Amino acid sequence: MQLYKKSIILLVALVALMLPNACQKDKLDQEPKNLFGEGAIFDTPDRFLSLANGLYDAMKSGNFYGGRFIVYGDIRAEEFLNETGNGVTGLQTWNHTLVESSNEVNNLWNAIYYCINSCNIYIAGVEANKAVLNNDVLASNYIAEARFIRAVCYHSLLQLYARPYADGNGSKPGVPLRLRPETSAGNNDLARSTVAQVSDQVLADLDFAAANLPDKYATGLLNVTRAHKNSAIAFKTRVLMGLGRYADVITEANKIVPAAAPFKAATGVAHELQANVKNVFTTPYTTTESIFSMPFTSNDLPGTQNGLGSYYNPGPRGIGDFSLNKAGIIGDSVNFKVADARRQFTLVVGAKVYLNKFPAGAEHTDYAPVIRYAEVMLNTAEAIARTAGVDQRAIDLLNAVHGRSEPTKVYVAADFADGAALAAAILRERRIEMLGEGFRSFDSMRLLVPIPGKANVATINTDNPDYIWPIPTGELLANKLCEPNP
Amino acid sequence: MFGLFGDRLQGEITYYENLVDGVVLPAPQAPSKGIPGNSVLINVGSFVNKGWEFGVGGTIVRSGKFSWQSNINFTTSNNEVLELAQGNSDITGATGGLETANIIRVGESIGSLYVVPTAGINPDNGRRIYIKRDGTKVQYNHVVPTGQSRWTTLDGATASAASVAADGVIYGPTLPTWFGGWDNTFTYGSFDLNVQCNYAGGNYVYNGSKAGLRDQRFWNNHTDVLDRWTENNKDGSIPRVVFGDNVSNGSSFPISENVEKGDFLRIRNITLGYRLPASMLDRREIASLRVFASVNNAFLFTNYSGTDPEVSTNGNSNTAPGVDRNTVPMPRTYTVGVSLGL
Repeated sequence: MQLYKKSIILLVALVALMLPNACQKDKLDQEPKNLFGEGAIFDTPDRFLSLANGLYDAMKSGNFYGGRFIVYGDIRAEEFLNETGNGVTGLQTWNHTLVESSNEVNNLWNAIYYCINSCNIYIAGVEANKAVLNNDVLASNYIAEARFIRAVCYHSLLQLYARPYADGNGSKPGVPLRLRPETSAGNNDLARSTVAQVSDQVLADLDFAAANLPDKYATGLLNVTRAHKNSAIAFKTRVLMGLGRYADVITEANKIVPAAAPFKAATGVAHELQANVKNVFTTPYTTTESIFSMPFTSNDLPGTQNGLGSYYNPGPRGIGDFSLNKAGIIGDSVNFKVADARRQFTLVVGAKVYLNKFPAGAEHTDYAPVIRYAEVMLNTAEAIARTAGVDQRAIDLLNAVHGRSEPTKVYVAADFADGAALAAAILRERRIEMLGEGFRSFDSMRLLVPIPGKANVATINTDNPDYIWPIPTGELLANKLCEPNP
Repeated sequence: MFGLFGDRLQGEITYYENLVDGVVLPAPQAPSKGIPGNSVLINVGSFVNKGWEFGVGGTIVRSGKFSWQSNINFTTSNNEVLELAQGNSDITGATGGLETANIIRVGESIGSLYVVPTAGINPDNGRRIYIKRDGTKVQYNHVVPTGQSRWTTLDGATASAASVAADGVIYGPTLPTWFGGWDNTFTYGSFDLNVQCNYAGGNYVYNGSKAGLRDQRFWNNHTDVLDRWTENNKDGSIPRVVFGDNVSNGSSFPISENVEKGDFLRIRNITLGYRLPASMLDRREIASLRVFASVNNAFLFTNYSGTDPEVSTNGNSNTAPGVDRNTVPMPRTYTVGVSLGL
């Protein structure tokens, strides 16, 4: 009886203890702060920012703007010679022997479309979850950033996988235009839109971005690594140059390039040329001349054989896959004088010359340049030359870029017989100024001229199938509506 | 099951049919969808393994101090993919993110080799001949003057490039269609000898290592490159050597030249042992003592020209089996040991 009573009391006491403290679920069921499911990605405003950073990170993929895409743009043309013969570091791009199954063809396509899908998912997600942010302006900013990145992605795809706009006014096949988020199986088949259609989408995205991006950010670093109003305007000048719409280039450029020297953007981030061009390519890489670059640090590197320094620096700072072609622009001592400040970007090692624009050690923490003010100025000058002929503003812009590095030569109107001669001089200045930044072959293609050859690699004529890249095998096998390039 | 010779030999015959349904495989997605890895794991369908198993074994000889026991078994295996998702579309398997030499297609064995057919070397100019899907033969020249095409028909007209997507043909299964083992134990007095063999065949291996050894970039070559086509050696078995050519050898995309049969017979283990007689042992301390020596992977008989037909550069991948790309072969190990019973 005694034991029975004790058990009852014990039992009642236990139950009494448990009831009020019954399962404080919120203390037991915690959601891990850095491990959450797909449904939770837009749950707090912080995550919107993290996701936006993720979009830039996708664009910074080593296969894309983290390095290789910039290299491809240059090595296809005549300025570089291949030293290592390595199929994994651009050999087939350099000598135009790519096939549908080549690494570069597949990896770049994968990286760019991964970025595009990330942007699509983000845009749809921000739209659907605006209430969480409770700040419509900020929501528009985020969507504008995603649309800017998406525009850069599609523009880049067109540069390599489609015929230039000039060929048939954009009627040739472009790339599949994916604008909706893809998160599951199915929906693989999508035909290629035309070059004109994809370009229209690029411009629509950039227009939205220019209208909705913030004017500037709080720090110089953010101004260089995140998109702002002037980034969209600047990139639009590049896109419109590619479309041959020179009058529109001037309209856009006027927003950030004044009518006369000193050339400095009047609104938004005050972009202007640096007095010493080397500052643009030296730590901390955040001068106002850089409009948009991809940043790297010791903890966030481009990846094996992706960094610009890996390709262009000889050992031990890099692998030196490509040296400069002495028959290219560096051999032109009349226009690219020995005293030109840009000669410091060349490095003589024995009998070879290497590009020294991305010199930061073996880790390759150089920022990868996407767009800078010098290019916008040259775009403007070339557009003016091609519409208004020998115009003083174009000559002033040319002199500003040239004179920044080599002040003894000052161009005057009498130097040029006509607009075409001025445009030719501007193109030559582009070769000197933008050497190694991924422009040479694209400049040839937008004007529909042959891609110059080098060493034992022949010139590629515009009707050669190798003028553009093949569509990757992976896409052709899975997307039944995607037609291959001839 | 059955018995022969008064149950001195016993055996069995079995038929098996193993249907695997709801297989989880990575279903390839169009890269333009931007899905990480370009594949989504879904239940893509079913396949079946069926075949016969034969086994027989027992004591073959027993006379005096000598006896011989043996067991042999033989299995046939027929693998067939029955159904895949997304309208039974093919799934291809890539090797190390580079060449794609395997395909999973309904009606074929899983992971069959999918390569572009080649037809030797053109004796007139030393170029490799490829056969396109419509039957036309084209040849490839790695260096051509400006304006000319690398791919031409045999009479010199421009042709389109050959590729796996446009011209690939299934060349055979990578899973063996017959395999088995044979185990023998001989004892003579205190000596025992065990010989274990296994064999398999009916499968094909893509010899990517061979492709690499004929790659004309800055790579080392196998000595048979000495038999390359030249003006004086028009019957050469290797195409005309051009620096930078990584297409003619099957590196850029896989070709049937590198598809080889994977049949083999391997003497897997030979062990010779000697059990010390009880009279020599100190019974209180040591109950038994046996010394032995064995060789693992003693001999390999095969026509496969690579190092080992049983290698798989993609491990146990179910989308890309049977590919040999610079893979390390099975080693031969020698073991000497003592087995002590206390």
